[in-house]
Amino acid sequence: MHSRCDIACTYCYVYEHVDQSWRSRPLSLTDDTIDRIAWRIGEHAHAHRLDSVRVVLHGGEPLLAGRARISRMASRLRSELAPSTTLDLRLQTNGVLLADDEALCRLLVDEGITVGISLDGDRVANDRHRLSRSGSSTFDQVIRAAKRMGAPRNRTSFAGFLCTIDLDNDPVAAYEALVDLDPPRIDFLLPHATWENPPPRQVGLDVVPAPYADWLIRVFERWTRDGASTPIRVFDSIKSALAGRGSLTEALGTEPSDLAVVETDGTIEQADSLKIAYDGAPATGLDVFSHSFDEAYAHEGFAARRVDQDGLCTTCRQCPVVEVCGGGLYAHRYSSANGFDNPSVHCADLLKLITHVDASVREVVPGTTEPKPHGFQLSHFEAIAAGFGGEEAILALRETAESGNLNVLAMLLKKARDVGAYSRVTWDAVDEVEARAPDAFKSLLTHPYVRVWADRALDGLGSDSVDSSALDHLRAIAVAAAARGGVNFELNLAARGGSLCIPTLGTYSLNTKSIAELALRVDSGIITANLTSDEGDAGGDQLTWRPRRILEGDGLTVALEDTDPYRDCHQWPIEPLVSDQEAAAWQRLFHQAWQIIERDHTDYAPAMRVGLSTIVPLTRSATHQRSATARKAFGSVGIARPDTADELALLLIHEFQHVKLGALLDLFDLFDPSDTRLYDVSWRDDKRPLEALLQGTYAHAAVTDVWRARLLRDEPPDGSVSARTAGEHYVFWRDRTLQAVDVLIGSKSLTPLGERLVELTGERVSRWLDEPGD
Amino acid sequence: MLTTKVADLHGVTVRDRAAELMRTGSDVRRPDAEDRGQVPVAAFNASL
Repeated sequence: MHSRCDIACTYCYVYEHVDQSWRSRPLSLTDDTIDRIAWRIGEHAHAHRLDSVRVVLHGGEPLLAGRARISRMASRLRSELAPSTTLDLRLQTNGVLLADDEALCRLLVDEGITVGISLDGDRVANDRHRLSRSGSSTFDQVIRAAKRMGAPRNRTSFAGFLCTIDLDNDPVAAYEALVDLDPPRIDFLLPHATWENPPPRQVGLDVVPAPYADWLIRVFERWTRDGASTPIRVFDSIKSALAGRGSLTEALGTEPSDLAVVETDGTIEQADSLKIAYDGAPATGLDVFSHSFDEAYAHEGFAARRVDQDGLCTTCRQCPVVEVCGGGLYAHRYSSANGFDNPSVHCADLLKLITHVDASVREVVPGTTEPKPHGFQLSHFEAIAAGFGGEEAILALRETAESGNLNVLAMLLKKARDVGAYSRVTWDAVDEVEARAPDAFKSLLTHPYVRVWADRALDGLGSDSVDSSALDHLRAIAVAAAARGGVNFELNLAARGGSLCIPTLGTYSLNTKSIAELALRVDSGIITANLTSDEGDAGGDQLTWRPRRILEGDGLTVALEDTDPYRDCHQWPIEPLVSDQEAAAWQRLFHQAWQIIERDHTDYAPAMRVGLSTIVPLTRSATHQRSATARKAFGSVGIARPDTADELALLLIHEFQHVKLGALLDLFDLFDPSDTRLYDVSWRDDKRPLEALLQGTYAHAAVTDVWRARLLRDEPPDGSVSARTAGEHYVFWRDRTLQAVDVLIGSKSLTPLGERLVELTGERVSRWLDEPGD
Repeated sequence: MLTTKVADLHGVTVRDRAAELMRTGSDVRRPDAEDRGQVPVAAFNASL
């Protein structure tokens, strides 16, 4: 983007090594060159049907190119790559220009540019090389930039730190200084060197054979003790390559390099690290105005990087770690005598480091510590399979849900780490509430929408496009657990779209839809929030708190959830904020409905008393009753408020059957998952998969039971449903349930446990056929 | 006692479980319907 820099790092490979081609380059890309580069990249992507292309905006200092050029590059690239190729756009900066420029940060976020910042550790480490042109420290500016990019509002565009190793810096101090800034990822770089200009190897008064390995091993040991939480690319690459999954960086591994550089004059060059070898080393004689990237691909310089191990020197080919090392960074192999036909000048360091990591990994035998599966009492299964289940059975279901949801959270942590979306602040907050308020944390784990959020967040961290903003909600979960568990702490959270939900407790509303950062303080169970000082432009914003609504029945309290952003998992549209009047209507109906359930449907009540936690209001339909259950939201049902308590009682019983069976399906295979056939069901026009048929059968047996109880009642309830109508409903659902039982048995796809559940359902409903008055 | 598909993580922290997943390099199957290629959502839209 720009061929000059606003600081003067002493080790810079662009200016301070043998290649001096920067002197003849234009300062910045012109609009024409930007357009041509984007067109060439698009041409290449379409010709080779690439799913994605990674473009790194580099320099010099790329931010010196200015906002207009950066935006132009981003938009041109998106335009040329659309619609079939995904753009992974990044930028590597010294951070100085981001220190006090929030608008520039926002521009990068808005353009979808992921920003890496160069920082070598603490102040002493950083100021050893990374100084301004006048020789003053850049440390404070870079720290401000790092904090700005790491703030929740910008974090989705923060890639992390690049840190160049200097033996004079203490490795653990450098590591801790970087980790304390909570980056999504760190990479440690070996200093650029060749056999002509070897790296310093002196530690104190001694020259040691592999001092960079020793330095990195000290970091590795500390990192391992920290749970390897913050991803470190060099270590992750070695582990990945050791496991046969390939390296994550061109500095390691035997994968062919697929990197081309375009300079500010449009010339196409090989990897810019080659500038350390000799003057003009990266040059190809090609440019984007006259040549395609396919022509560059055929250039001998690029071709030399695609010859796998055959392109390595004899020493490398005979080395036991060659598959992992791959000869190190190509530029580091250079000598004037042999060109690049040498081991890396860092060979001894790479060998020692890889051997150390290999030994460390081998100490753990995969699978040896895999926990045992949950047991589940047969009597509990039978009770639920029969249609009911007592309090103990449902509590056992809840325990398994806790484990399942904790596992998903752990998977999310691993995934966040793998894709560079890890936040130490966020996960440290989780650690703290988990350790200090374990019961409150467990309670939050089984909140219905925590699982819904965690699954969506996992999907959002896919390898192609990482949406780390979904992880912000974890901070809100930690705050909720802290408040419920009496843990005092402080945490900043981002409010998006004008609200911030603290799960199970309530919601903050702002009178702005833009992203705002709130500083939350939890003290003795009380949460207070303030807009952070960085939100000065939103100074007029008003913060209002609304606690979560609840519904009270005799011996049962449930949430009327109308703010949690993850409640929209119930297939039907959800109601927005419920008014006081509407909430009062819900309360009247719920109180009566629960009385009906406890009086007339006593077998269903115990399970609901301990398992039903949440009702989500759905939008009402003029012609239909609406209700739904989401498989992942244990304990929650979605219902459009009906007119009568009898209707609500029926919907609650119906949906809670789905909740129970959904939880059972998480524990057991009840049918052959390879049966992908669709089945006729008598209660819908469309054909349904086997699981839906099973769910419908189980739930409609209960619906039949409800209508049967009403039929047997002396007086029609509420005057809304006559006994005659109840009889029609009863026969309708009874016959359809029995038909569905036959279809399920006939499918031959049920497991023994599934057969048992269907048998029990069929037996129960069949018995009613013999009742008088049928 | 029936054996379930869900690992018993009673007493295990999120961090420890994640470290275990990192060490083994494995992605544990999510024990839900997504793995079976269908995401049936039970929904009731009674017209009676």
